[in-house]
Amino acid sequence: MGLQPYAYTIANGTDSIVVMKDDGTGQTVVANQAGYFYSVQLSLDGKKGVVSAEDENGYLQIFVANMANLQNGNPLQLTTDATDHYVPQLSPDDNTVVFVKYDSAGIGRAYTVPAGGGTQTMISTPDTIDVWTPSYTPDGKKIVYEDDNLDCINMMNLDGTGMTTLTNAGGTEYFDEFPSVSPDGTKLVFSRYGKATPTTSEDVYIANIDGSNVTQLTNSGTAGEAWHPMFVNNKIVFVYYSFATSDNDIYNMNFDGSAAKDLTNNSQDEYFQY
Amino acid sequence: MRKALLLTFLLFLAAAWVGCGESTHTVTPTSQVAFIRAASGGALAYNHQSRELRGLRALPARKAHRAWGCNLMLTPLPMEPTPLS
Repeated sequence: MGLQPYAYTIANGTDSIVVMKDDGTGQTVVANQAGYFYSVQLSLDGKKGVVSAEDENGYLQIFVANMANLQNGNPLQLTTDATDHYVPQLSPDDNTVVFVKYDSAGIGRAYTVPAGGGTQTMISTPDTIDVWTPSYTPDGKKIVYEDDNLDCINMMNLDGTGMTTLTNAGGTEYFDEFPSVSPDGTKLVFSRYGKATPTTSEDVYIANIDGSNVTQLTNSGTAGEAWHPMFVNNKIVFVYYSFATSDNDIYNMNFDGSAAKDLTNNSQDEYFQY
Repeated sequence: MRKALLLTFLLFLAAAWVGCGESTHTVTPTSQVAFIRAASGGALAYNHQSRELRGLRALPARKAHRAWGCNLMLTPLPMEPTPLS
């Protein structure tokens, strides 16, 4: 099963999109070797999905799909301008997509676009901030993101005001990336590795939403790396890269880091974002 | 007795109003998760060290990967690619 091609404007490619429950059951291919996908994400209620995929001209464009009606219609293409559009994330009310484009100076800027189609709007942020992986808090009132200059996790209002740094202030100690806020809005999960010893593995950490009480949840050691965690319902899902097999799999675990489980135990590469 | 009934009714209405107000803002999180599965034999060998080598703007590297038909871990880009536009 699956859609092929996923949409006529997506260039032919060999990546598939798969949907499953957070316990790994019910894996369903919804786009079968249908393009080159850069990232995929479901909305908080799961009714919509958004992808960044390469178009026929080689640019990453954003597409949004109604997950209840995948077999009966192509996804809606939200962007068409000749540049790359990265890491789209849906707002909790399914009405808006936030994503990243780079300006002429190479600075990452967050943009929003209506999920039903419309005009892109840039969120104004200082030139010193290189925005990456923005995502909404579950109440839809804030956006958390990685500052790719200092490699810290920040939070801001929807219009870019009120920026606060949540983790790795000053950026001297760590590379912090891939922030995700818990459904109740009280916790932040992200992945981190050290700047002083850049060969150390990446692991998943959890903190209070204000950045306090940072706690390591995974301990990959020399065997692999745990990265790109996300809260999904009552689990944290993340990607684990094994040095032994050079393979990424999707895992889940409890909020306290216990009971980590490989949900896609095969030889294929699986991830949320390339 | 009538006053007590009226008071109970008014309290019920107030509770119902508060409850409705809260429910309109509640989103039930999905237990579903979507992910990308790369084609078999096309392992991208993606970890933080390769990300640092390639930079996070990975599309040019990926295009090179496809064009050269080789594994990115064997051919990391020496510097961060410049944006396409």
